[in-house]
Amino acid sequence: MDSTKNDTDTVVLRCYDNKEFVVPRKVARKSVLISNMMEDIPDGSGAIPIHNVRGLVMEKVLEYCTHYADTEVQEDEGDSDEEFDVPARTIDIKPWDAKFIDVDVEMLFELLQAANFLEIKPLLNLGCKTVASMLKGRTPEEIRKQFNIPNDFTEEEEEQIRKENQWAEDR
Amino acid sequence: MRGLASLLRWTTSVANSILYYSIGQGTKPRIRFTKLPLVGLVRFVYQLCQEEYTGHHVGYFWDRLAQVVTPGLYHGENTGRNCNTSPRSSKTPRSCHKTYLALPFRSGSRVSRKALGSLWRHGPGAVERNVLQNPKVCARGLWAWWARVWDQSPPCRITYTFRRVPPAVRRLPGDVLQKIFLQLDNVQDVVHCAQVSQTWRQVAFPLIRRGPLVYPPIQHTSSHIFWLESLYQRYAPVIVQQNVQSFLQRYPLPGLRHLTTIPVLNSAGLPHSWLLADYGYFVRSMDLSRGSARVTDNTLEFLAQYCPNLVNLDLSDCYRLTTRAFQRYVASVNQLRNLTLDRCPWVEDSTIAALAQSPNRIYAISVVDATRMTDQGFGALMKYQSELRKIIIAGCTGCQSTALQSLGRHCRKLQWVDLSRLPYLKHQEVVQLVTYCTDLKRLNLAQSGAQHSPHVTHHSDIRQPWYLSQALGHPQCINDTTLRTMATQCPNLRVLDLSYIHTISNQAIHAIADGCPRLGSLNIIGCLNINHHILQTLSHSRQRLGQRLYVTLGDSPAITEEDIAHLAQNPSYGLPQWHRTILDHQSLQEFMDTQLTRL
Repeated sequence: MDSTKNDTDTVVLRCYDNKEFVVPRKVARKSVLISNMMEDIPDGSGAIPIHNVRGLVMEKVLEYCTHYADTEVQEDEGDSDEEFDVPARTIDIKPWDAKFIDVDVEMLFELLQAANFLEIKPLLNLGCKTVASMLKGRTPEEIRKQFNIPNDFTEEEEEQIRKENQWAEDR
Repeated sequence: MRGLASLLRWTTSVANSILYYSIGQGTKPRIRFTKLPLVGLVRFVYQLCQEEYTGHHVGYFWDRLAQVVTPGLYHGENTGRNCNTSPRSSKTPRSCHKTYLALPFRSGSRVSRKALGSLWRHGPGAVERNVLQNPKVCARGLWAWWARVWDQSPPCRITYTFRRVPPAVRRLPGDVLQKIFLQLDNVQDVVHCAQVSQTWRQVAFPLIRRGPLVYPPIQHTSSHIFWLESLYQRYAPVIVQQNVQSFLQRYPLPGLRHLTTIPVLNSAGLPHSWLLADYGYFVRSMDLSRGSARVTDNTLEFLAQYCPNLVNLDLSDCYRLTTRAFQRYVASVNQLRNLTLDRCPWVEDSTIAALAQSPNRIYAISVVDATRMTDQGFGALMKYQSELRKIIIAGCTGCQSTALQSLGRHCRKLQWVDLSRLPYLKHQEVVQLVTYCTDLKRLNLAQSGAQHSPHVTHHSDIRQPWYLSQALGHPQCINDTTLRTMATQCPNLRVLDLSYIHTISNQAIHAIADGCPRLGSLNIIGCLNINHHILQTLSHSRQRLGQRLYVTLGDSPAITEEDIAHLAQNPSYGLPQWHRTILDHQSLQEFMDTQLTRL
């Protein structure tokens, strides 16, 4: 089989800061973007450039891909039921994932960005769930402090937003 | 002031020495003052204060600082990293202080007003020529000179050559942020996120209105408004508001003034706080059943204009609407999926026909107790809306066999069917339904088919054998054969309600227990021909499958408390592992709702 031969091969990925990673094709295929690029670029034509990701982040991403290299991606079911049923939102994270995602905020967001760019859906979902759990039950001020976001509202604007969404608070 | 002067002196001397050191001893550099690194340094620090740098760019910071402070290194041939000297590590030879004189303020000397004034007039060289100026001009001169120096000195390119990286939070693309916010199931959390920053607000705002808008209970703080409330119940909101305004103009009572200044409802009878005129575009679902007294034709017009993307709409109990307004509304929108029209007296055949032929693709519809509807309306609905997943037509007494027979044939994707309280429901129609719709998950047949089943008045009749055989033998009504067919056709059935169907026996439940392994809820209230032995069968079958089943019993002389107690005492029946709860009607509803969401 052609594909099995390909799976044993490796592919070189070059990051933004010229760091190079040699990874098995099976691992690289976890990313939709890289697997598309692998199809477009003929074999042996050198490294695949990935401009948007730093080496440090890429390392982390590849750790994830290697861990899940053998498990198939399962699609979340229940999208069709959403129309008339209450979608059951569960924030449950597997133990290995929880350990993996336990990084500082800056790294977490860079991971999210990389996962979005490289189109690794499970990693993106994992990151989103993690951030969402951080946002739960926080006041805006706490969120700003935690994620280091400057407040770029004027006082009137802030007051307006608060007033506009009064109905949501009252419930 | 003295401290500032000494600081200036110190920085000048440091800058001198570094510059001198980097260019090399012996050759006296001739560099224009405005190009001197001191100004560059100040400017750099100024720019640094304006920027934000993240932790891992500290390395760049020192590189660039060295580049600014020691420009000589970078102008020469060795432009690269190997030759840059960090200012922290560069050691200054002591002799430099004495030899270097290129700065106008010689290190160690006092800066005089005169010298500064002459600087403004004649440039840096004038210090030596000792040109005198008066003090006022001197001060102005100092400022003008500094401004000129500031402007002329080549802007430090740091902010541009630097890789200027804001924290990753702010580089996050909008769709990722949206994904994050979608994980939050509490609207309040999303509101908090919207208050964080401008970008977050832009992403979060549509999502806030995406959640269901439920008509709030209108609370009034004053007893005067109690009067207003009663007006709202009697008249349309427009009329009430107009009248109240004219009333207040005529009799400006102090206590009533705030009625018009803080309007709770807009002209369409919808809460002002929803701000539909601004954000109606994002609204996806709306529940108006609690404000049914204020929903009028005007409301629907308003919705058509401002909320074109409405997907779920609940108009239960809205008795003030008219068929004409509804027809106009559904023709003008095209996103409706789920519609609830429970207990609306104005619903008739033409209403539903207009909905069926509108551009909306309906997934779920609920028309409970629409007694004016006949087969014609239902037929049109099923013919045009073949995508239906959920249909609730409980209590539509006008619905007869033609509509019910076409139900399964046209809508094969049905998952949730509620046919309770339909007097004309027959064996044949249920069989047709289950033959076509094999994906059925919830089926409610409670109190159906009363027209065909024998009338039961006295519970004492039940235990007489002649009654049982006669009732079960009736070919038209829902009987054991119906349920046997259902068990073979719909293996995915989760919820089944068979209350008050007297014509089914233990055998039917037996077939269901075997044929539908995923059944999670079974309702057999008032089924007179089902006795307590069925509990044993159910218990065994569920134990074998390792599944949980909620059985709701009651209102039947065939299963009494004694029977259940007797079963529970016998260990071979397996009843002790069952939990038994006695609930009133409302808590039963809540309990079922929580359990069903888990199924």
